[in-house]
This record gives sequence, C-alpha cells and structure tokens, in this order.
Amino acid sequence: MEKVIPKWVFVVDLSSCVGCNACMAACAQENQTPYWSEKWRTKVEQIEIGEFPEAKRVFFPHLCMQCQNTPCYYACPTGATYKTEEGIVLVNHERCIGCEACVIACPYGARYPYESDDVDECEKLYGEEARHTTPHIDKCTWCYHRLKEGLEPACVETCPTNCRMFGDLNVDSYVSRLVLEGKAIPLSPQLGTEPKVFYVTSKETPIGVVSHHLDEPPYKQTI
Amino acid sequence: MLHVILRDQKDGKVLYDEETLRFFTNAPFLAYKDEKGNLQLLSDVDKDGAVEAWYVYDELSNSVQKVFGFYNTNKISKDNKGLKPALFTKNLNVNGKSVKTVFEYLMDYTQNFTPEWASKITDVPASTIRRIAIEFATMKPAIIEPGIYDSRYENTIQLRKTLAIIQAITSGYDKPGTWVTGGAYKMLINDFFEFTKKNGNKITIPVKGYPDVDIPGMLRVLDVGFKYFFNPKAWTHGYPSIQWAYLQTELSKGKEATVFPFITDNGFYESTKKEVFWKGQPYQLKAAFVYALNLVRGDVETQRWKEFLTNLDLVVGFDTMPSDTMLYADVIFPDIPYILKKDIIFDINTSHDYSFGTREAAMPKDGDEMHALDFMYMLSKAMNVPWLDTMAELYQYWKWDKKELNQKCEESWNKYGTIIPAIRELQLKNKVAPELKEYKGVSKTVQELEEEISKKGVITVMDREELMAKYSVPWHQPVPTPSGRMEIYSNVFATLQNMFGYKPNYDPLIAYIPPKWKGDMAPEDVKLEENEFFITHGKVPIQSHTCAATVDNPILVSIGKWREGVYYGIWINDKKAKSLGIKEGDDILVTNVMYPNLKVKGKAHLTKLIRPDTIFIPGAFGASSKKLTYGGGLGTPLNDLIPYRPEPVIGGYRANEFTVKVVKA
Repeated sequence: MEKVIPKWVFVVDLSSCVGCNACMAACAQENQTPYWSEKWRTKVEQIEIGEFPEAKRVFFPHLCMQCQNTPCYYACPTGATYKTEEGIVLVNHERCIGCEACVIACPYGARYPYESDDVDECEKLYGEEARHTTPHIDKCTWCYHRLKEGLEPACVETCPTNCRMFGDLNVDSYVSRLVLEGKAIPLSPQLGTEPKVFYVTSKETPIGVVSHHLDEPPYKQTI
Repeated sequence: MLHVILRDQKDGKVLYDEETLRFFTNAPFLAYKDEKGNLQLLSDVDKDGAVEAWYVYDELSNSVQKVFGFYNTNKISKDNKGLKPALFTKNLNVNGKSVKTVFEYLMDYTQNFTPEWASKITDVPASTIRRIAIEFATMKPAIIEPGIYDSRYENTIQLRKTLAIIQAITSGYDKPGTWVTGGAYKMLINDFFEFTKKNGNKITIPVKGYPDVDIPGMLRVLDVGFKYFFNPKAWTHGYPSIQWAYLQTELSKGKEATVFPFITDNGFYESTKKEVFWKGQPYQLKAAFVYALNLVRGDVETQRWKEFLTNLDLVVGFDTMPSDTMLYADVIFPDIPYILKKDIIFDINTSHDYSFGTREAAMPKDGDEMHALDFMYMLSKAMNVPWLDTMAELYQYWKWDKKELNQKCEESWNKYGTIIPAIRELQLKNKVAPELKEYKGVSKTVQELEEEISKKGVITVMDREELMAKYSVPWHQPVPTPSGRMEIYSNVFATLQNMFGYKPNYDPLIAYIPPKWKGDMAPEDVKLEENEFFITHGKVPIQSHTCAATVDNPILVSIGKWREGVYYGIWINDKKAKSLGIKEGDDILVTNVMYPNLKVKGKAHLTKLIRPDTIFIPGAFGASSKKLTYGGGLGTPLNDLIPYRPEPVIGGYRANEFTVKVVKA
C-alpha cells in the first residue's frame, strides 16, 4: 500500500485565544526551551487596538509557520536546517554553527539562539534527559517527536479554549475544512513563504493588525 | 436590568418567566411589613421553630392556601390541591395582616432603579442597558457570569443577590447554558430531600437529625454555624468561635461588626491585642495553624497580618513554599505539592456529571513532604486524640465504620507510612461501588475501581443528561435554601434582620448601597483631583504569586517577566499617564487617599485598556520573601493598599471602595 505522507496544518482561531499562555508553559516543558532566558518557541503576543472606550486587545499566538517556500532553509550555509518528508523544518544541532543567517532570513521571528549558557542550564535542569546538548539555533518543530507518535503538539493539547488546532489536509476534519474552504488564512501571504499556519480571523481580530505588528521590531529584520 | 425585566414587554409578553416564578420561587409568598417596618413572610411555625407552611393566593380557587415549608415547588398545597399561586394580589388581609406577594414588593423596591438612573453611574447608555436586559430575558438560555474577586464594595452582597434574582426570574437555573449545579451536589440534595419528606417537608435551622457535614449548600453553613461555631455549648471549653465572641464584644460597645462571621478572620488580630472578650474574660488567640494559606500576601492590609502573626505565641505552618506568611512560622511542616500527591477520592462538584475523582502523583516523592491527612493522623496519634472517629462521625457521606477506619488506617500507616491507601479503599468500597451498582447497575470490586480511577482519574456514576432529567434543581428537587425554593426573598437575610435589626446590607429582598469612596460623601459629590484615581484589580492568567502552588514556578515567572508591564505593573491609561509625565516602566507611588498610611510602589504600565480615571493592579503579586528564588520581589503587592474593613454581612473586604493618588516615585 502506498504510504500517504500527511499534509499537516496548524490553525489558530484568534477569536478564542484568551491569552492564558498555557501554550507557552506547555511548550517550554515539552521542548526544554530556555525560558530562563525568556526565549520561547511559541509566544502569545498582546496587541492593543483602538482608543478608550473602544479599545480592544487581540491575543496573537505565534509559532513557526513551517513555510513550504522556506527562507531559513535557503539561508542556512551548512545544511543544518532541513525538512522532513512531511514538510516540518528542523535543525540539526550538531551541524548548526550559530551564524544566525536563518534568524535574519525568517520574516516571522520564529528562531532564536540556544546559547552555551542555555545549554549549561538545560543540562543542569534535565540531567541525562537534556535534549539540547550543544549551542544551536532553535525553533518550533510543531513537536515533531510527538507527531511521529500520533500525538498532537503540546501547545494544541494544552490549549483550554481549542484556539490552537492541528490537522491533516488529507483527512476530512473541521481543521482541514477551515483551511481548504479559505476560512482560515495565512499570515502575510504576500511574502511568498507559503506558511502552513492559518488563522481564523474576525472583525474583532483582524489579521491586518497582526500583520502590521509583525512589521515592527523585533520581527522586522534588516539585512 | 432587573427593573426592565420586571416591567417591559416584548411582542405583548412579559419578559420574566411567570411559570418559574409562580411554581419554583418564593415570589408568590405572601409578605407583610412588621411593626418595625421590616418585611416578613407569612408563615406557620411549629414548636421546634420549623416553618410548616407558607402562604400563597391561589388563582384557581381564589383563596389563600398553604404550601409546604420545605419543598421545591408551589404546584400543590399542603392538603394536596393543585395550585396556581398569584404573583399579584389585591388588598389582601390575612390573619390580621395586610399582605402582598414578594413579587409585588420586588416591583415596589425596584421602581426607582431605572436604566436612566444606572446610566448616570455606569457611563453605559440607558438604551444599551435596556437592550441587554431584553436580550438576556428573551434569548435563552442566558447566564450572567459574575467571576471571582468580587468582594469589592459594600454593595457586592446585594449585587450578587440581584444577579441571582435575574437568573431566577428568567428561569436560568440547572438547564444547559444557565447556572448549573454540580452532579455530585444534586445527589447530596437528593439524599437530604428524602430525609425532609419523612419529616413532613419542613426543616429547622439548625437542622435536626441529619449528619451536619452532609447537609447541602447554604443550609449546611447555617447549621454548622449556629450549631457549632457560634454555640459555646457545643465545645467542652465553653467558648464559641473567636469570630462570634468578637461580634458580641463589638455589639456590646454599640459598634458595627460582621453579623454572620462564618469562617472569616474577624477578631483574630483584635484578640491578640486583648480586645476580644467572652463573658467578661479576655478571649486571646495564642497559636495558629496555617495550612496552605498566605495571610500576609493574599489577604488585606499586610501590616495587620504581620503584627497578628508576631503577637501569637506559636505559629505552625503547613506549606510547600517559604511564602511571606511562612516566614512567621515557628515550625513548618512540609505539605506535599500536587505533582507528588496521591490523593483521596473526592466527589467532583465542578462536574455536571455525578462523578468521583482523585489525584495521582506524577512522580515519586523523595523528601519529608506529607499529605495533610497523614499529618493529622500522626498528630492525633501523638496527642492520643480520636481524630478518625470524629472524621467518621462528621463525614457520614462516605459511610465510614469507625472500627474499620481505624484498623485500616493503622495497617496502612505501618506498611506504607501513609493512611491514603486505606482511605481510598474504604471510599471505593463504601460509597463508589454501591453508587455504581445502584445507579448504573454495574458491579466492580475495589481493586477494579482503584485501577480504573488511578488510570483515568475519574469514575462517572451518572451523566449530566440523566441528572438533569431526574435531579435538576429546583425543577425536580429543592434548592438548599430554608424554604427549598429559589428565594427571591432571602430567609437567611431575614434571620439576620430579625437577630440584629435591619440593615440594607442584609435586606431580605433587595437594596442598593452607594459606593463610599470617600467615607460618607455621596458618590455624586466625589470629584477626583488631577492625580487621583479609582482602583480596580483582578487575576492574570499566569496565576498569582501568593498562591503557594505557583509562587516560585520558574516557567510562570519567566512568562510573567516577559509580559512584565501587563502582569507586574500598575495599569494606567496611556493618555492620562502622559498628562502626568509618567512613562512606561516609571516607578510610581500609589497612596490610599482615605488611609494614607497604606501605599505601594510599582512600575507604571501604560495601556488603552483602562479608563482614564481608574488604575488597575493585577492581584496577588509582590511576595517579598527572599527565600522564593524565582518569584520573590516580583510584581506589585496590591494588598498593601487595601484597608481591613469587613462589610457587615459575611466580612467581605470592600477591596476597591476607596480612591488613590499616584505620583512618580
């Protein structure tokens, strides 16, 4: 029987994110990310729009877009950044030289350096179970190690409002229909990166606000 | 909203649910004003003080009829006639008293509280208030979620009562999408209802002949309060609870105090200053056992608690963290954190299903940490106190046999160093297994149940749909109020009124108490100075740092630091801040205007999300204990600002009822 390669997609419903940050805590624990240095694979940005008394706050969960047209992959000089057959973008820790070309190349600010101090702290905390044993550039992997076991990413499993959703476009589901029917849209498609994270927006949570926010530092990269 | 729902109509129909009001509340009960002008319900009371009957006007027979003292519905009279109780009457005189229905009095009381009145004090347009009220009443199901942290004003008790009335008159109880009671709670009520049926559908307060801890809801509070806490004869030492002694001391001086001080802190501090008396003798607290509570940082007026703890001869703490309160403990026993805790079985009252749950340890413990029950067992053995016997008497819900309980716990203690396995075994054997057999027809051994609950964490006896169909409240069984109905007129408040004299705070029907931001100054006369603000506070999602379970969690602290201004700062409107020359991150000093000795320093967080005349402080941060390696010193200690001013009903703190001044520090 021919092997069917999943077409994984991530959907975020901006109207139901309540900014609880449980996803950030779950990710930090699951992936041993350097929370002690306030570096995160996934973040929930808070954006205020309007003026009092009509002011609103939009919570924007932000993670690696796992782009199909992958700027970080092309920027990497050593081939440390690579893609799995399912299209998940990973980093080979041993091969990474920490040049940060990928950090600059990523228009979504998804990457950060896992520095040697961070490695020391990781090994101190997790001992033999530490998975970051050499400095490298780190990023969200959609918990690829969990996906291979048939589990959902840790942030999706934890999310109390089902704002974060995960699915396979090969499988008919609420998530795949949101993407295929165009109800969930990608962020900044004009960049040509073909992201695999899609957002469900509304009048109250316009993605235009979020796009604009990404034009500001630290997301705006100068080369 | 209540004014609108009581008076407006849509498509020619009233907005309130007539059937619910007539049959499931005490809105149709006949009421009168007594010689003191206090509103009372007409009733027949037996020699034990139990209400045998309430009175209604029946539209079917055009006569006054009696309904049961404790029942869920007014559909039948005491002599078994079908009724249609009236909400409106015409100049009735019964037993020599001029009476109207509770509903008619409610109309009178809410007459002046129009949307136009409300719009002046809320900035919400009257038309919006009217629209929301009509939508709430007509788009069912609907629910008002009042949230937590609401002991902010003296009016809060009456506000909560009003919310409950709105929910009741729109039939918003125990139906999907409305206020729903827990599944296990419904079964507790069921057991109690069966008991009252055998006793002529009436109850005394305190309740007689029923295990105290198994009495549901507010009735348990009343029962345990009046039978034990406030009753000196219930104790071998002949003293009531400190709170009751403090109340009597204050009343004897003609002062105001909290009249129902059930599990409050009233009198604690004063007793250490020798200001509380009982029968002319000082009632002085000498020691305190503080279990998983952070008085210094989680309560109000920090300094007061520090003095209280310092004044005691002995403070024994039981906690997981070196919190600000544990710094005052003479001895600290190590509580077990949740991640290491294998717990007893408990009924899950937050679930709509009737289910039992537990906690399992995520990893083995390797230190001295102990479950509180193990600690109590160890202490009771050392002091030769029959604590397990008392537990068996109090918690008959779990059907303990004293001898078996003592024997099993001793075996478990000797074998495992903990009594938890024994408790679990007996809970599963005596309660869970029989309930499963009775309601689900399923027979399982204790071992099978232990395996199931250890793996899944929950055993469901009955699901929500079946519970709603048979046991919903008040549709199938009584509300645990003194009358069993949803009480528009509160019999609990009436008891307080009759014991202590009238106060609007415990008006049995409804009352509005204007905010006292500046003492007795009328709220409309309050004019804020340029750098003066109202204050509000609330929770933030990374938990609070006064709660021992999360105070020193490094991940949560990191998230907090990353969002520093939002979680640790003092929110101030961005435009207002700029007018005061305050920038993001500036150190600012906030001083309580009425109590200038209460002040707090924090960092300004400029935001559009707050009114220009108000500041917001995220609650429960500012732990100062340096032994908290991650969480110590972070955030703004809100409780340094809030004065200790318990309101007169149940001792709520009126936590936002003052103004503050803000200057750059």
